Amino acid sequence: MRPDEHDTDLRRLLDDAVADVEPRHGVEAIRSRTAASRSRRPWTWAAGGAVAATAATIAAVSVLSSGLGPSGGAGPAPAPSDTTSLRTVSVYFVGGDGTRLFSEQRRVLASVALQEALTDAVRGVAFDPDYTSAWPSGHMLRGARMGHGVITIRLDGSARARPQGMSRAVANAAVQQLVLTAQDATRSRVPVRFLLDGGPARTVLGVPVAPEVAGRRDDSVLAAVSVRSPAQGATVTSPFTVTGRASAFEANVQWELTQGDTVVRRGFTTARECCTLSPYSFRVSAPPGVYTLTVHDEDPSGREGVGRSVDTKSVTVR
Amino acid sequence: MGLVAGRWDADTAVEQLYAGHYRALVRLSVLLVRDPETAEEVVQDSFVAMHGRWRSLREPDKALAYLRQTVVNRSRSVLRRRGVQSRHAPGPLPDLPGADEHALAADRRDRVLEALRALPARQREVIALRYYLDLSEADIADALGISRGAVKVHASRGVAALRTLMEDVS
Repeated sequence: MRPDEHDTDLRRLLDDAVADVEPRHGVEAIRSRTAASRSRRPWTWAAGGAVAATAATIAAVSVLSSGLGPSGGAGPAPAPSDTTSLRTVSVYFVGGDGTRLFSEQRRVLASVALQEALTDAVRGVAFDPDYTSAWPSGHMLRGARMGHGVITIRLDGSARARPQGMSRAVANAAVQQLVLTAQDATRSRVPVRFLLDGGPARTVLGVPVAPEVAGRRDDSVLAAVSVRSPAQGATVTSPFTVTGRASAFEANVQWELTQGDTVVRRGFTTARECCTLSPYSFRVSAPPGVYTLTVHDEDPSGREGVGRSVDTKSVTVR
Repeated sequence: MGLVAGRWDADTAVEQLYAGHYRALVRLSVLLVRDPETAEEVVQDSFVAMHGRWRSLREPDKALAYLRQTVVNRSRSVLRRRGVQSRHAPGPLPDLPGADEHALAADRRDRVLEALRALPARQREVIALRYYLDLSEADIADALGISRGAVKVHASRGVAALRTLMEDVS
């Protein structure tokens, strides 16, 4: 059989395999969720509606005009206490097996930083395609505000119970996604109070929650290996520095720079401390090109291949 | 609501891309996750995410590329979340030989989906994007965040693995 006949056959088989799939009522479901997120835009109750809406628009324009993408690098110098001033926030997502958190930085309007960051976290609006939200849908977030030593996050009543099929570990990750994102957006470590349909939450996604939930920043919540810089999709010049945090066996952190299946560079480094999350950094030099940077821990079982915890970034070397 | 694509707002973008691509994206996701209801959720979530970041997409082409990428990634994370339970779940019951054409067609579909499920994730994704959506190597590389060389490798390995199946059922 010639390759093109293979191709034709494969096309036909795949077409046929899903030919009986007729999706239903999709557009109404999508519309209700996008409409809900708009009419319940968190900051419309956090501040005066019209003013807040204008501020959000300015944020969008500023972010676009400064050319800020995944790199989250330098933008226009923010004017202090101006409504257009921007703040760099960390937004937490799940990656890997869906139970460990990774963070990504982005610049948002300072006056609505908390709401913007939480919205991105819940919706899974990540630059890194390996990251996603542990939340079953974006419409569960109603709003958030900071005050009196506590951050209050309002959720839709549908966030009370755990959806069928979601594991407790994923639900825990979902709760911590919001707690850590909220703390970082407010540059605080104050606890988070969850409200469901306006009343105090006893459970969120089926996870029992205290009246005030503390953020957890150890490797039971955060990914054991994560890359902070370069960001997903960043363009760098060679040599470049890779930084991140790892909690690795004997503090050993391994890395590879690959193009397709070809390993172009590889090496290892040591995190500052063993067996607890601590910073690492290393330098990489490589000829211009598009690469995948993979950083991972050592597999203590001695098996071949990538360890248990891994973070990857697409990087362009100019 | 603008008719010029460049002036679409987020709602128009959702409606237009829904009309043109929703069914194909759901079917793409079925090729990846198999279960149609899960696939529909994945695609709906992806449209909501696209709506949420329309201000940074702004162009239909970019939005469609974002949708594809999001559908593939979300399909993959659904499989991951399911990973543990499906490994312990009993396999599908063997199909009884069907007498009528309908049963034969259903059997063929099952076998194709089953064979896809047996592939490593990347191969399955490359095969679905290339042979179902007819994407170019460059577009597949973009959607998956891998190099064009890697796309070629995954495609040829995937095709080789599926060859046995194709000889059986085609």
